[in-house]
Amino acid sequence: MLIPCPHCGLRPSEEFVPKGLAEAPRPALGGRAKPDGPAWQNYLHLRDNVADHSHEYFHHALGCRSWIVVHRHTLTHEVTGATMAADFWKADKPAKGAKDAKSPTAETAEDGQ
Amino acid sequence: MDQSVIRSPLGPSWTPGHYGTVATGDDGSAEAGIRALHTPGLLLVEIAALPGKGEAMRAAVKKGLKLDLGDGSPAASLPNAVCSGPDRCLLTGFDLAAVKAAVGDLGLAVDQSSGRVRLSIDGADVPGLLAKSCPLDLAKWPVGMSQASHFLHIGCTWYRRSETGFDLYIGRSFARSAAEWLIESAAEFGVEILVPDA
Ligand SMILES: [Zn+2]
Repeated sequence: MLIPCPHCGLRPSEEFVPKGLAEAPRPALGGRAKPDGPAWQNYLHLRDNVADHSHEYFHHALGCRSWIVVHRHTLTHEVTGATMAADFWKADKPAKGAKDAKSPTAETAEDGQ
Repeated sequence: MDQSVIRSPLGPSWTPGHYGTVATGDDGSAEAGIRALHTPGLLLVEIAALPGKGEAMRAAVKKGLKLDLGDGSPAASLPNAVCSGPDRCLLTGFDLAAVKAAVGDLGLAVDQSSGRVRLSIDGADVPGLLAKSCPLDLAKWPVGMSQASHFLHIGCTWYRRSETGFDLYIGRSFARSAAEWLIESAAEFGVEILVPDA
């Protein structure tokens, strides 16, 4: 599987560490107050495991060390794009399954991967 | 053991000389397909811009250190300023204080002189070694290009110095393993470990 890192271009998946779904909203820490147990239980352990397009965090550990969000279909492994994690949470979040025009793909990557 | 001796992070295998296959040149002398050099005592500083300050930091570096980092992309790397990630750059030969003064509060500067080693390889058989050691097709890169990827199993920032010359920036704690792998992998081409300039 090849992953299109927004900084490095197409790279083999071995260079990345998967870090789970990007969609799961992180519960508030709760400050000094007691953390919300069930919310954290859900956040850490419970996933829907849908067969569909997904947005997942990957860390480009053996590369530029960026945190990115990869748009992947969990059934076919088709990767339709990737964004820097910081950009992912900005206003215009890419729609699920939509081709990401800005991220490199097998056809457009020119830097020799 | 004499504790005052500073030992090389590359370990005892990295000793100047010829290793592996010996090809003979036209004049009868031994020729190596790959020449390799470690530069000890290299000053290394990594800079990273704070979010959104990449362009401003590059302008400050241009002004303060007379280094043109272009748009900060891997293709805009220089022999002494190698792009190591988004808005990140590895500078060689600059004093930390000078870099900090140039970067100011636009980014962070961290001394990496004892954190990474630089190995330089050159020679006609370098593409053969690259084909075995890195998943990227480095032979297709333009001269002056850099990328963070790996050398065998070891994280490495690559820089194409010339048509057949590459620099490898490797974490110090992996340097010994990298050095041993390099000598073993290059043995089939013949490898000459060069004596660094005094
Ligand atoms: Zn990357």
